[in-house]
Amino acid sequence: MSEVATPARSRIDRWIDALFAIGDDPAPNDPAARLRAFETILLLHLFVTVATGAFPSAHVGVGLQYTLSAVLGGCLALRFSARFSPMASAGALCVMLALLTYVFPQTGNHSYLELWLLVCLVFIGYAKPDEGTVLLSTVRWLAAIMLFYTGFQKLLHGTYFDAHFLAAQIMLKPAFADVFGLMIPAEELARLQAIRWNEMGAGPVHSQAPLLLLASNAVYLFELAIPFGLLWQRTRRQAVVALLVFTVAIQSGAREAFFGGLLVNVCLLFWPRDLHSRFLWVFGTYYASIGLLRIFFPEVVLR
Amino acid sequence: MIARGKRRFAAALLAVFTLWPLVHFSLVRAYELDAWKFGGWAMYTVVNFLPKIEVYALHEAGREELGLGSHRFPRSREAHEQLVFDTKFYGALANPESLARAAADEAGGDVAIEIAITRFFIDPRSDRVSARRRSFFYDSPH
Repeated sequence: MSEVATPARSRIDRWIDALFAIGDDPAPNDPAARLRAFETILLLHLFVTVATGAFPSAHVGVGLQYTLSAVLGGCLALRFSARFSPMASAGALCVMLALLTYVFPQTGNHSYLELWLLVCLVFIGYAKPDEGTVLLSTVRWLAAIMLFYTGFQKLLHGTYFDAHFLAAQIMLKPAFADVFGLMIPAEELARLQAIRWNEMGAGPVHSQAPLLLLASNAVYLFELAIPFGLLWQRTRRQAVVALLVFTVAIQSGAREAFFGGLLVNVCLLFWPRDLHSRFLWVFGTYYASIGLLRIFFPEVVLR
Repeated sequence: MIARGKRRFAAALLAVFTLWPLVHFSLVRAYELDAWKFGGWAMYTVVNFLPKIEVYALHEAGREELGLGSHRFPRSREAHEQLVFDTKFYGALANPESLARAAADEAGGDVAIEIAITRFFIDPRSDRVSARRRSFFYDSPH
């Protein structure tokens, strides 16, 4: 009886395997159930985002918005059909590609993340356990790289060391002033808000308030450090909890309720056990709430 | 066993995802592209003010700012809006030529045009609002 020779792995394949092993779970398991729930939440997120006009209402007509919402709603419904389930993310990917092409270059970065996640779901898939393992690892790496770069870009642009950026945001955006204004004296807040940004020499746009300086530097340091905590298997739980707290704190200032939901969905993939299936109803309630808020209380600006 | 091709595809995807923000940073620095856009994860890094764009007709006697709000300049107004949009997102890669052509036509044809693009920023040395101004000159087409 002749043996079938296993082809030798090239060096690059060994590196690739090592890369995915880092994003993997310590004990081998089939992540299909959690990935299925993750996909459902992502499709729900896309549907509510487009249907309520959080994206991209300002750029497309109402007719197109409702058409795309209906298609995304159809994709979400397909997700619950055993036979047509694989087509759900593929359909959503087509909608997102069309939307991004239409809206470009005004597309927000969260839309690119949604696109990358859909590409992973469609082209890697999770029908077989090995596929699910690679998909889970890939999505974890995507999230870690994204988080790292949000901090690294702040470092490169250099606007956080002495709270330049936060002071400017307080000057320009009332939502930021509501949150970060609490960290500076009242007279400093009034001075920043009175600056006219389109007048040469206006300013100074800075604050020496210790709490604001601390918050400003803590933001990028956290974003630089947290991906390592998420990828290292022994610190994943603590890192997930820390990231959840950070997300709630930051998004309360930025009022990006939709991006916040997306980030929590991705972040929970680092938890060693399946939380997505268990908390699917929480995500459902969350998206229903922010969707209704956007429709019935448009003065509460949620993005 | 998952096809090796899928693993390689996933690894290639991660490689692109890792390298793009560095390219993005270089482009933002070189051409003043909108740091918040184009998927480089540089949102909330720099304040993104709207550019100010002025259009002048150049005569032998001097230069005259064209009031694009007037009904005389419908095409120029449209081209002006487009240039504000393009400059906000594409920075120095935005091309003012369409605005210059429309302005020259609507200002009488036989006139040279100057387009001044001012971009506001907060100077990290002085902490004050500062501006960078670039002017583009277009000869009379006749």
